[in-house]
Amino acid sequence: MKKVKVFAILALVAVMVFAMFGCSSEAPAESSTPAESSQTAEETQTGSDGEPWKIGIVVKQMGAPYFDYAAEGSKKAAEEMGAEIISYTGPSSEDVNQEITFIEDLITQGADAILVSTADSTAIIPTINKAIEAGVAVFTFDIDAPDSDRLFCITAGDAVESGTAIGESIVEQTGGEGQVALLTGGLGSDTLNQRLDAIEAVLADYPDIEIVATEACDDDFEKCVSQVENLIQTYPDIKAFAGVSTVNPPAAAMAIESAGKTGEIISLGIGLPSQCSEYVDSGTIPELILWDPGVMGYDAAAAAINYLNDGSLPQDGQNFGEYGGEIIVPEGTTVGYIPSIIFTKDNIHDYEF
Amino acid sequence: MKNEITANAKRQSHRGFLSALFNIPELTIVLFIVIVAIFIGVQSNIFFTGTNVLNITRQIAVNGVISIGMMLAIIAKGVDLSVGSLLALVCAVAGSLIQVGAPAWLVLLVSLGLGAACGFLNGALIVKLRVAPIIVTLATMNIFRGIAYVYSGGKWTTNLSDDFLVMGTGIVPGLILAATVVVFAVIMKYTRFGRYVYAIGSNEDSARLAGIRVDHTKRMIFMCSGLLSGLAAMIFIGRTGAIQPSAGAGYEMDAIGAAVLGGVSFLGGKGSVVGTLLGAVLMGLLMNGMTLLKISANYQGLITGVVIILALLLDTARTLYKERKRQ
Amino acid sequence: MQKINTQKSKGGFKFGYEIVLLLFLAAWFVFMGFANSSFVTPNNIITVLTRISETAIVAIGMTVVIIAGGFDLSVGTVMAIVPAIAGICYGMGMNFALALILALLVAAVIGLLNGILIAKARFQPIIGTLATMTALRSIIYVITDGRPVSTFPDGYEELAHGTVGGFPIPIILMIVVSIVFAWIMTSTKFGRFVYATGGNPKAANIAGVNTDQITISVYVISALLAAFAGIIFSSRLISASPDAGDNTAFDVVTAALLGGTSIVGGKGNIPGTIIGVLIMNFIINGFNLLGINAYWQMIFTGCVLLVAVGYDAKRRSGGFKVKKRNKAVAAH
Repeated sequence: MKKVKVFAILALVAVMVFAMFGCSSEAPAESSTPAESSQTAEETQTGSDGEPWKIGIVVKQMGAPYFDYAAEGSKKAAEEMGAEIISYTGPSSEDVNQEITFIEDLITQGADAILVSTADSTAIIPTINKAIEAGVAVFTFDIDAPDSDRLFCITAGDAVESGTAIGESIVEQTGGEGQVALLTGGLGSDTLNQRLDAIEAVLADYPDIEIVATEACDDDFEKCVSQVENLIQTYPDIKAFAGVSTVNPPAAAMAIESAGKTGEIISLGIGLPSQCSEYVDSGTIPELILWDPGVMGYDAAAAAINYLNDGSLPQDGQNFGEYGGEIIVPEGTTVGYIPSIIFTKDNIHDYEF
Repeated sequence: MKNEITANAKRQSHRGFLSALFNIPELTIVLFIVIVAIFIGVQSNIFFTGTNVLNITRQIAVNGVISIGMMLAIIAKGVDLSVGSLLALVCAVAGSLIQVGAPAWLVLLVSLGLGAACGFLNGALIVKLRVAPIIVTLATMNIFRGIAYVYSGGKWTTNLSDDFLVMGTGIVPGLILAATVVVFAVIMKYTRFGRYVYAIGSNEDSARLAGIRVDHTKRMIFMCSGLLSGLAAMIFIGRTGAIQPSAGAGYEMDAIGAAVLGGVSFLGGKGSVVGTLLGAVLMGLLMNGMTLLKISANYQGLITGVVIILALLLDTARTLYKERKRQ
Repeated sequence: MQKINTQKSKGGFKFGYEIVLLLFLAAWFVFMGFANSSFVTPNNIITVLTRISETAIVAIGMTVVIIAGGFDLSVGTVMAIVPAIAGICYGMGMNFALALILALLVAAVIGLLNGILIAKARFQPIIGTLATMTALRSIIYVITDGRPVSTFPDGYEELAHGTVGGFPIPIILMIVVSIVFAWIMTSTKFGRFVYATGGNPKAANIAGVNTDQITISVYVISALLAAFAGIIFSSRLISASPDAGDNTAFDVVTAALLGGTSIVGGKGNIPGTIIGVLIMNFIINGFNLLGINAYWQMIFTGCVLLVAVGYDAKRRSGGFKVKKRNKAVAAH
């Protein structure tokens, strides 16, 4: 029994040490948490706007640089407008169940607003509605959940629109003919499947373009390289690869270049400039479609803070300042669009993300 | 009864060569690879071309190298679930070195060293805590992956110089895999360490009583597994030209699959380097072949699963047949 | 008889470990209570208990399988395929009750297949279920085309969102399943046979236990419990995602091992596993409330597993380890 006690104490100490250790790296979030919960109580009583709003960000995948840039943008907006990002989190691999866990815990934590990029627009609905019911302002960004009660969505184009853009890019770059293979991340990913559908819808109008295969690499870079190598073998006349996950275009370009097919085959799709610049320079990736995730994160946070301040949702043409830029809100919708960017040899080095 | 036995014995002596062949443990997997290869080859004329074969060697290199470490662990009645996460951790550290301009040889050395050190840590924990390897490596699988993310902040390293790509291009990955196979085949067959690994897997208590330094050997086993993960990380970097902390997710299952297909048994004490390599080859052939045969991505997992089941059924059938013959 | 006796003494010994785990959980509650005011609130505790009910139910099945000396990687895919089938069949106009029964039958068949591959065809559990897992995930993609299935009848969400007497239904279901299986494992012949099969299959066989039959049944149980959890899960989301349950297998194995189940079989119990599930999830919940991100959570849960299981092993082997050391010394 003595041993048990000793262990219990040891375990407790270990927990403390670890928690401290963990907290020290997240100093702002931790040190302010206990203090702030009392502040919230005051705030609701006085209704003063002077206290910082607490905003949580939940993304569909942690460790994806794309979302890290978006979170940095949100942090920038929060700093400028006197709010606080209390947490930026997400599952280590796409998993809507864990996203739900994070949202539920943010509600418990007393967040004023939550920014969500969902892995599954259907499965997330009950949770978003629950948060709204609990009085939390839920904004989606990047990937929308249009059928939920969320207040507003900031995006550069939903999955269908970005897919259509890739499809048009294929048509333009191949001259409207030839064999094309599509590459995707996970087969069960809602967003990626919608993008693939949109690409297929665009290409349906061009009978001379043949989609020979669609391969899924589970967002594993090396597996994608292998698949492209195999596809190049299988279809010697293939003209282009188009990827709907950010892993795909650089992986395809890598395989194309190591097979010595630079100039004969091109790689297109959605990708981060920082991960693709060398292939854009060499011409293997003639153009790349994306938008500035930082701007997206910035605008989403700014929209949420504005809403918390005075209950207003973004209007068409609303300007979020020098960094945030203007957004377009089609009439009668609650979706705000930031501009897409097409990266080419000329401008790719102008962007940091 | 007696007649039957003599008859059996006669039959056996007649077919001495055949029965010797029949007793090679890797026979079923070889047979299966031949069947799969012929099946793919008949339907696709690209399959047997030099470029494609070279492609396959490159594609199996990472899994092959990791599988050999996994094989060591499984033969010793353990398993190493941390290999994929360790690969990511090594990648993250290598990435930070590359960013500060470290030369390729230094990065290689550090990667191998870090892999070995983390593997040694696995082994030391297993020995010290006296906990099943699956639990320790399940825990370190989470720990290594977490550290990889925290250390790198999730950032990728790209625009690598050609020095780092060498290990992933042309015949180099194949050569590394071949060298690893030869080295470990020799170690397992001709060194004391190799025999100890089998002894520990067959019966740890007897091994201990026989004076084998079980703890030391276990630490070495997991160190080798970690070292090979570090080596695989370098091939991975060379092949992808990018360093990502999310690399290697699920690689432990691919490695276990390759090892078990190659005849390594979780009951311990059984398995060979060549068998493991053949297991990795079969997995690689499947992936390559399914693209070549233009099979839709949705069905690829189904076919992989069925082929694994068939390959193992064939092995079971052979074992049962052998047992019956012995009776 | 001897077998049963040792089992009982082991059970007594195990109880101490569970106390330690509970102490740990209590310590965590105390610590979090000071660190964050919203942790020890009924609202938070009920939220966490509701969402872990599925994991707990799957973990119970996994515990039974591991006690019988097996391992089931396919639980996550069963969780995904069952609601998908039910939803698709309902969408095509089938009566929903019938669709559910059909889907549960599919789960039973999957369990049966796992069991037969492992018991009769002598597959090693980890690889047999790995193969079925790979194949099943692919089958899900084929039947759903990778899209979430959301054709469920009205009121389906009540299963996960409704309450009975103020308690959310999933929590009640979790408690019922735990009690039923705790009873089965400790007080029925089947339970004792499962321990015997995992502890020493040869001896169990000689003693007249049909180990093949036991092995097959535990995989069917595991698949059915996973199917049940999958139904609750899809009811919670009102949608069946093709990627559902991707990380479930490792999560529940971690919980079971943390709860004192031995990976070599023959040892473990349901309460321990439930405590394991609680510890893992309340730690994650606490970290979320403190704003500590997922990476630190991975590192920390890994460390907790190491410390807890390491401590348990030290405790158990305390006596005979010394003996073994002496023997080893004597052999030198």
